[in-house]
Amino acid sequence: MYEFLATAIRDAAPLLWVALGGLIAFRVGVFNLGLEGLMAIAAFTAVAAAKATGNVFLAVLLAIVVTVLVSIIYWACITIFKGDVIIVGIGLSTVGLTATVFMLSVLYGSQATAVSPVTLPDPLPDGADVGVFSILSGMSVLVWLLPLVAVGAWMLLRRSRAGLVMNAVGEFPFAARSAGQSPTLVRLWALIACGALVAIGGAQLSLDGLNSFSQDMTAGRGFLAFSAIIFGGGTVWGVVGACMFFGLANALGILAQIQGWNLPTEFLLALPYVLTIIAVTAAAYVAKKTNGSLVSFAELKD
Amino acid sequence: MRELSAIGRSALMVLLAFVIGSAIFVLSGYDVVAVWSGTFQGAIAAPGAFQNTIRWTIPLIVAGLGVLVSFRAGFFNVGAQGQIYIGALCSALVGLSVDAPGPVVSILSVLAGMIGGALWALIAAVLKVVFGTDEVLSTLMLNFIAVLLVQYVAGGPLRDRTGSSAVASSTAIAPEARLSNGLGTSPTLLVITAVVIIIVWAWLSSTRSGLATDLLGRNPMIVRWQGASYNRLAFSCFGAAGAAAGLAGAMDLLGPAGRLVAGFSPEIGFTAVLVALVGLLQVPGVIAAGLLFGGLQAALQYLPAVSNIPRSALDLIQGLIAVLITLQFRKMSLRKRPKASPAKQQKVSEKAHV
Repeated sequence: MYEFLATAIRDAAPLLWVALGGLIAFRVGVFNLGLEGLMAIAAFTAVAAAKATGNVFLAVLLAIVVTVLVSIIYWACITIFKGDVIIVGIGLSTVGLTATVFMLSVLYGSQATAVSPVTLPDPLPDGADVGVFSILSGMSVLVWLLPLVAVGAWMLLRRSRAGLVMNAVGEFPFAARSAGQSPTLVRLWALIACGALVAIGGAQLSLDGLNSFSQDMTAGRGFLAFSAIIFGGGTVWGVVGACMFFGLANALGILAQIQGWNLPTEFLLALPYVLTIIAVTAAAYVAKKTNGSLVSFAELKD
Repeated sequence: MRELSAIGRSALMVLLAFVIGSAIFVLSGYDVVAVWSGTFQGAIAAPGAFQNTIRWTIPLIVAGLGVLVSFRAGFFNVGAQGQIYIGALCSALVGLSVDAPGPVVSILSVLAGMIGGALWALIAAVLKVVFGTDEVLSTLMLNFIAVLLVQYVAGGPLRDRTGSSAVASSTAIAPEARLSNGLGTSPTLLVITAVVIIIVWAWLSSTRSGLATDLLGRNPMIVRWQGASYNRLAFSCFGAAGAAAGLAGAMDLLGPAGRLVAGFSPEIGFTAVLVALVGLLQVPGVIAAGLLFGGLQAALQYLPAVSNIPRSALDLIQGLIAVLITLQFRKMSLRKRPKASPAKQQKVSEKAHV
């Protein structure tokens, strides 16, 4: 049972970092479909920096810097140059996935995998027996930080002035503007925060356990994180629940394979996407019934 | 004149993507001249290269025209990927199970692909019309589901148990039912593509529902006032787009692929959306953009043989084009400006379409 939960948490942790980042962008009205590419860039930069510096903290820091810079370029594309949020986002994902593979072969020759010499520190060594906490043994400090980050994101979005402004920008930018806020600038800060959180998620993916970067490593986790935001109804605790649910579904798939159950893994893998369609449909239906807009869609409305 | 500037802008963005890409290649220590001459060789000049370009251009144009139809109507159907996969899946199911003379199997199999693609697209249309579900999200999610479904069917029910291939794939389609050999070009495929081009062009330019489709993307209100049914138009646009993408999938299955392979065309569906956008949602534009991206795809396979640059380099160019193609450089100002009135915005969007 512990092992099953541990598998689920290990799978959900990078997803949750990325989803919380995407949630902040979502709240200011940016449907960030570039999460997949940003995550790949972060995972790759973390490993490349770890190889170059041999220092895991510098590696995470550099991953954050690079990912934030790319996020700022994304921000410029969709706000200054008025690009289509969805198309630019999907393009960013393509660029991120291909640029990392390209850099992989530029820097490390024809190797399919870059291995990091260092790993993220684990507060509890693998296999330590400390009651309930032994679930988290062998997991990096970034997993331990997640409850704090989730509470922090909730405080930011629901209990702070900045969060109020962000929600206003996402719901109705025109009103935010007439209250003296610049939606463009708020979106910049939100996308910077998003980039930083995604970067940590990417670093958690590549520097905890596997300690390497290879092609297709993100394996759709960025899009899955985006699904978690929609399925979670755009709230912090909804996103936490959605990520845990996806983690459990994945752990169930692994268990099914080990136990030899006759359950196609593809169906479990497709579950998040089916649920997302249902969630979006339910939200749209409720909005239609109540004549309001519960989900404010991607178009930057100003 | 306006049309010219739109073409110029689109060409400029593609050029910009190549310039940025070249800069990245130079910084990474590659010989740019060698890369681009290799790309030219792989797309046009080398023996068999142009044939390979056409092999990739065919599905891009067919699926791209479907995307064009739905985008013209204002439906941002980014689900060509999933519709291609489902088209190929249905085509394979029929092609492998029907026992009949070759041409009959071919025709039934192509029809099954078109129907499958259309039905997959209609899921998004029904959700949109009945519940108001945003079609960008639903079609994107349906893409992932379709890819997994093909992975399941190719690796499970239809799996070729005799082969030792690592990739899950179905048993092969009978040679008599194939539309081309493995090289992927044949008169049949070219004729089908030409027919699709003519049908889409004629439908959009000279039929009542085609004109209403075009109008719907510009001003849904007027379409309602004209007495056309929004729902019927939505269903026909999604259905047509899905049928075109499904046809592209069936043509790929019965043409070059010859069997259903898991993850058989990772890029075609998304590239088809790019083809429609780069082609400015115009039929001639889609043909030109289809040739450009088809050439890039062909060069992808050729380039590693003549240059030390990895094939991800040209994929990177496609991603850069996607990032750049919708950008507008006219409103390059951070200054706060008053929101344009709806009437003015209407004019702007009309301009963009003319």
